[in-house]
Amino acid sequence: MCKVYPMIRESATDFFPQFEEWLSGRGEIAWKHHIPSTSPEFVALPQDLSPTLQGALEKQGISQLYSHQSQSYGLARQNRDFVVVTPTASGKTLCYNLPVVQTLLEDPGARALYLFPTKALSQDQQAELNEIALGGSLPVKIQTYDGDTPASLRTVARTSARIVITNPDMLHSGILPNHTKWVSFFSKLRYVVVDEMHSYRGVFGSHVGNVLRRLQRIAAFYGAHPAFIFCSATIANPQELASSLIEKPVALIDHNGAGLGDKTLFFFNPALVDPVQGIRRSSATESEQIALYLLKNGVKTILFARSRLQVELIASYITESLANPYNENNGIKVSPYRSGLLPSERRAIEKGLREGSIQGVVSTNALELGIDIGGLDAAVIAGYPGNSASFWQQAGRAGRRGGASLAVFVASSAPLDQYFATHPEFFLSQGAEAGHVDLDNPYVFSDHIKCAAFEIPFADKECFGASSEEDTQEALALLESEGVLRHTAARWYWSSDGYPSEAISLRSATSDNVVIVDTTRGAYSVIGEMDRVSAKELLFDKAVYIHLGRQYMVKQLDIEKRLCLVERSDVEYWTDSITKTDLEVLTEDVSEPLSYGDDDGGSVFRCVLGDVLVRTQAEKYKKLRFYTSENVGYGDISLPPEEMQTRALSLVFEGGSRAGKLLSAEDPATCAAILVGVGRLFTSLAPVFLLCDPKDLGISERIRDPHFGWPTLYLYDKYPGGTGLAEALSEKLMPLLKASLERIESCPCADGCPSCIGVDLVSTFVPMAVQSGQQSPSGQPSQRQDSVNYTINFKQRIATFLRGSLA
Amino acid sequence: MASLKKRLALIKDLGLTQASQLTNPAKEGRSGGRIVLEYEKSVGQALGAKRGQQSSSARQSSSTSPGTYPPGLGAGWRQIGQHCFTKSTLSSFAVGDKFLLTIDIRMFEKLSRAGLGFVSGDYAKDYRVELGTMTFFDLETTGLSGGSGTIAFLAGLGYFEAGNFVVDQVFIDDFPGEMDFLSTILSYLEIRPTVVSYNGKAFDIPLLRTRCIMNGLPVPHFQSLDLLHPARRLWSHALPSCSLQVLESAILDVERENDIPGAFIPQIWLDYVKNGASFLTDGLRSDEDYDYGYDYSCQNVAGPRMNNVLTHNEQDIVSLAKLFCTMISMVESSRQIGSADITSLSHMVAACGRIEAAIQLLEQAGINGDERALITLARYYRRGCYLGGRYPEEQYREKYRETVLRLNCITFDSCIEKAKYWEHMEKNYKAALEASQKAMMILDTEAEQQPSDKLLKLSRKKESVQKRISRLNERLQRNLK
Repeated sequence: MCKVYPMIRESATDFFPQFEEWLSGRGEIAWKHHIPSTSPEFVALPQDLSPTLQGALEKQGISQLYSHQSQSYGLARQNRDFVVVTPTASGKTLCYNLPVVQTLLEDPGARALYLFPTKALSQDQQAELNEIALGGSLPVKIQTYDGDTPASLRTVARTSARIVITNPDMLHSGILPNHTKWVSFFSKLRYVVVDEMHSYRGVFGSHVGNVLRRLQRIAAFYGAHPAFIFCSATIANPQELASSLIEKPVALIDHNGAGLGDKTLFFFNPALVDPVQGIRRSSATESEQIALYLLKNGVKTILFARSRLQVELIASYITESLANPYNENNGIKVSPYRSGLLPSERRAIEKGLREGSIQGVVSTNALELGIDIGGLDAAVIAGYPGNSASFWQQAGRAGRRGGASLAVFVASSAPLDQYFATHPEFFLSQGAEAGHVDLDNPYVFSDHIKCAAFEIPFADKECFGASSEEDTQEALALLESEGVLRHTAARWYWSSDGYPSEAISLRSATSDNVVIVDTTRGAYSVIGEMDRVSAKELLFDKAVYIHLGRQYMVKQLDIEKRLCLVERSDVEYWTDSITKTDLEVLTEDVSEPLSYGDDDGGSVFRCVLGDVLVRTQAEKYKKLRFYTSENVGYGDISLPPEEMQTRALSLVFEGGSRAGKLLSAEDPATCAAILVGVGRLFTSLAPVFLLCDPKDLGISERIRDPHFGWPTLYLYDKYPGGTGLAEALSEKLMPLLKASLERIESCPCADGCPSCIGVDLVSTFVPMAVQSGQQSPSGQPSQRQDSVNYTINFKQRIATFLRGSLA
Repeated sequence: MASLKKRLALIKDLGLTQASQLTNPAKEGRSGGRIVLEYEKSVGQALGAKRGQQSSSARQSSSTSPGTYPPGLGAGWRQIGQHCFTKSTLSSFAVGDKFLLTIDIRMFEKLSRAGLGFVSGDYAKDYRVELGTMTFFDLETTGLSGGSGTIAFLAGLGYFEAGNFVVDQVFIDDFPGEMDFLSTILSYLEIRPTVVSYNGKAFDIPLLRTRCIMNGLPVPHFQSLDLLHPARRLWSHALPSCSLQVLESAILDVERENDIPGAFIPQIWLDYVKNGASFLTDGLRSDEDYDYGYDYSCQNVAGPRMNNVLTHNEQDIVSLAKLFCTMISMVESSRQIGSADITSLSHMVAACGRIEAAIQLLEQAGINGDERALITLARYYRRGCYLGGRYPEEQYREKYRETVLRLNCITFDSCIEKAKYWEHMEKNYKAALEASQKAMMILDTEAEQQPSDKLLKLSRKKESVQKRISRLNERLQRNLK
């Protein structure tokens, strides 16, 4: 939909040259990319569009459609399953709103379900839909149904709403298990709209795919077979992802008929502080300064930081810099926005942005999706968000409504960011990432079989979704042996007093969130919640927790009771935990020597794909001073370890193999340093090839692995049961090795830096070698610790090792 | 990738669980629990006899040979389907010829509406129902949180027959019996279509609907009276909780022996179904029984848990009927039982159209210094009682004045009532403002003590008082000019 906003942007356009000059004085503009505006392709409104709907559109100034909107209308009206992929701000919502509302007008019983990945998006969508429906006074009732919906409106949603807007989590735990209360809804369900489809990949996507299996199973129970409409702004394999989510072929619409606004992208590399060690100014601090500059110049700005902690820190630093009691901080208000805030707090911030009482916002990716906050002119992105879809979404947050806008990517010293600094063509050509899901991940699968059995008992020979009868029946038998199902009279009955979906979260490995309670001065108020695994790493006793710019200290984390008591505090530091990981190989499903066929039959190293048991434990924490991040102390954490079974790709450097020989020539300390260095390169570069978040992949190295008996590098999926990352990695290993080598060779640093193998290999491994009284890595007697010698050595050796691992 | 089957098997072998499958902390104590049910038919029968039950011969089939009732459940059960059984019990509760009474069911209406003497549209025609057409209804289920995977396995259906109270029960011993179970219940409700329950509106009746939908049966529609809410209004201020069991001992003077806590019931049936065959031979008590944290030692007479559930359900139905009769007699006689809240009782009386009686009750309580009763009384007079007018009729003016002046202005409601009086009756804006400001102060003090989730409601109240205050200020200003 093209709403026309007042031209507040003109001043921003004029301001660009000034900004560029300022920016280049501050650091290095590695490269600049200009995306020119393009003109739209219009098509007349569909013939069969009802006059009321036509009137409603005209009221909004819409008298013709973009070509992709018109195509969507056609497919939807034929009840086809399809996916629309066009950029942000191309009027995607009309692609589904128009055919859905038209169908609902024709058939007064028909219903539609809209699925958005976040609550905020649902609310925004309802507002927009209401504008069409109520603005044109159409008799179509629309109701959001999520955790924040009051009980009175829930009944409305169930019985009389024609379009129900919800999120996958609510569908999973609220709607599907209570489908009998939704009889009139399910029995006339015509359309299911899945917007922001790119959110549904990896583990979350695998869960959502299973939720859709359950949805279709229930709809079929009531005799309905809804058509699916998927939408996304950025995804490389829309058709593949959509059809794996619903396990049916889908049609594709990917030609953008809407025009594009003019956008300039600056790739900013912060100034080098220490060229020898390759240390640059912190991307967080630089982003904060850039945002501050923009805000002071009246440019409405959104800053994306990478963690909740960073968001809180940056927002409070900006507010402090603006502090001026005489003019209310120059009239500029900046707010943090991240998950963990209470819904009401988030709503207030969204409203502030929309209405203009807030000019700047610092966000985690909670805002990256298409929440319509309007009127933002600039996006500052502190460090690569982990995948290009997120990047373009974040960059797209500014200037959604056409007109000129700017995006600044502030590179961190992470290898990936630095790789992009020198490879703009790679950055720009990689385009959108692909999304993959594995609906048959055994954990995810059996979780949803459980929920499905609760919803409707399974029959013998029934298959869950498109899974095989064998898998379904096997999972059912497993659940019967656990005692939650009863198999009798050719049916599998839910046979437990529990409510399965309550215990299964779609978002992370664990659903039991820890509730954070502020107990300052005898108070007892809930200020937020966090999943259990993160809580162990962030909310350990004596940890400093920052919430909405306020500092708290953890008094007690009670994992059993899922309760964390905190108290307001005023210390000069924040805390960061150090976790330890143990691995145990459970199976070796594929074990193949890697060879290039160009040498004498020898292998380079062995690749083993299989299941592993990963045990992680937070053991210690660091205290880091605010602003300088200097280490001011340590503390112990005593919490039970987390255990999970997952999939791993192990690179085993056997003695006889080419890479193995290279390693066995080194002393153990150097060998360890090489593996750690390679591991670091892999962790930072793999996300581009694996289309995953850096956090999804775990790496662990052993100089002499107890299972394989050789130096081994484990690359494992951080989600229980695995999501196909290990498998994908085994296919992308060569490009990953090449990119790693390229990164280390092109890195300007002398002796290892945060942008390649890290700065601490020398300080960690040289003393180890010295202590054990061994020859120094360079082969000379280690009388004095000449770090430069060693460092050059490490970097070179890692390069040599990588070169040796390649053809 | 390894086949799903192989990997599932691996998970099973390793005994690994995903974090989400770990037991909830709240349920941990029960996780390992398994109940071994014991089977001893003769004792079951003895128990039945001990309770002094007499089977109503009209309904009971003469045959009680083994196999016609579910294993271990004692005498009196009759098989009506492969997994479905019924039993009829004549209770010791009797009402004589009162069963012919017709009841004004408007007394169970929501407080806010009933209290003001409105007659809801739904009840405008048919608000008198014969006691004899009522079914006292309670389900025992496999879960307390609902959802389409929760089924009912036991239904208690009580009714009056010639002055006697009879409890019929329908029971299934496995899932496939559900269809017979439901159709039996539906046929009962067809004959006596006014359903009296305790928390049935929120739990039993939606669950029954769900089960009908799941089994493709027509969804029943009937009139439903839920005693939970009136009971709460009457007694919640005086009792620790308003569960049926608490009311039983506090109001009805009933004591139960060996009762089973409701929260254990789902697991007992699930275990009974699972171990149905094995417990015939294995009658030993296991240590795990004690995981339930409940002392069963008093029942070493082969205490089949399932039997306790059946008894529990039967007693619930009898208590439900007794509670119902108690409420009715309270309303009919305008008499307080078990320190019931007079204001709420007066609302029930008024809802039946007996405004004068309600006012009498309130006047009496007002004399005894019941502030809530006084406030309600003031409201009645203010609105001209059933006349529903905004300004009091002349005949009530004096009474209104008297009543308001008796209010002590300690609670929020009394302050507001006074503010209304001063503003609208006396046009004394200064006094009205003072009363409103006092109301505001009370809210502020309350806000400090309230948990954060109640704050929203408080802030709405505050808003409305703030409105009143600014209006009064405006009026005062205007008067000054």
